[in-house]
Amino acid sequence: MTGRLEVELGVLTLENPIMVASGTFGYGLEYAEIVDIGRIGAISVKGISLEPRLGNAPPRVCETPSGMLNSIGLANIGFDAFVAKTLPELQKRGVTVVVNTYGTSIEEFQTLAARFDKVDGVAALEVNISCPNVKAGGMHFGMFPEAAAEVTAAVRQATSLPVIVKLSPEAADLTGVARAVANAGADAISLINTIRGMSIDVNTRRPRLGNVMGGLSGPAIRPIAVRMVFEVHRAVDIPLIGIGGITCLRDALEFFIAGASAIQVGTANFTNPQTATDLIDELDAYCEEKDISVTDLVGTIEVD
Amino acid sequence: MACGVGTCKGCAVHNNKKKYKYVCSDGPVFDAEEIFGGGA
Repeated sequence: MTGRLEVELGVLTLENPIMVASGTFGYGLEYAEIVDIGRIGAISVKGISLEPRLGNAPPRVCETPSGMLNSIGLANIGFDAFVAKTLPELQKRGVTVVVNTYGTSIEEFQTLAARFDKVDGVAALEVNISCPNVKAGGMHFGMFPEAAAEVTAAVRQATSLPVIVKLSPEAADLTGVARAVANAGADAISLINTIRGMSIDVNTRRPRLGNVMGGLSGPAIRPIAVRMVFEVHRAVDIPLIGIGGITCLRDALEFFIAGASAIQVGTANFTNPQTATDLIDELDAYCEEKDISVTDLVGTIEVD
Repeated sequence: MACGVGTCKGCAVHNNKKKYKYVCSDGPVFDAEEIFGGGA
């Protein structure tokens, strides 16, 4: 490694700008036998809620052209089990852990932040105000600038950890939400989460997902994600983490050029769990060849 | 299913005790009774 890949996301420094997205890589440990998980810039773990969650009625996933729908419903082991059993194992393997957090209320987001503030082994919090698959909390907070600012401010108050807020593409005023979140104290913004979609089995005439709708992800959403990174980059000064159908180096470069300082690989992990580590090598070779650092790429789109 | 290795929680099925089991890691073969309930 050449050192060309180091990035600063506000107060958070990463060895490389390649992360894996929450919900697509479990808690990281599950892949430890086949992926050197300590190499990944950061692992955003499955969203953690105060209490364990079982998740939504099956079926929870279905493939759609160039992507997939999911309605998992934030099934997770909950704060206590994560801190007691999972986090120490991640620490042992030198993993940079970003804890994605989910709450059904502002108080829950704040309580989670306050608790994680006191725990070892957490590099940053990623506040999930954009999950479309849960009844309360989630996307609701990400739809409007005021609500998004309230959650962000509450979390900001509760912790000195770096705070990344993960935005939904469903906001009517995305740049307004982004500005509100930045002003409320977020250190960085990650975008985008999934977009609500639906698929119907034409033989049974039933939705293919048990929860009727789910979040669309994968290459199908990449142009939307690129557009949103571009727009938000022009609206805020804090660093952005781009997410949306990234499968290869070319995809990642698109996001850096649009304004992302780091990216997350999500859906691609399901076809190749080594996508992230492969990307690190490819990006390093690319930067070496061009004699640049990855930070030299950020926001370099040429638009008149 | 999406990940096939027990991490995405996508392949949930209800068992006869109203708990979720995961086809990739708890299965893929189950006792019929566990999934469909009832007896002969």
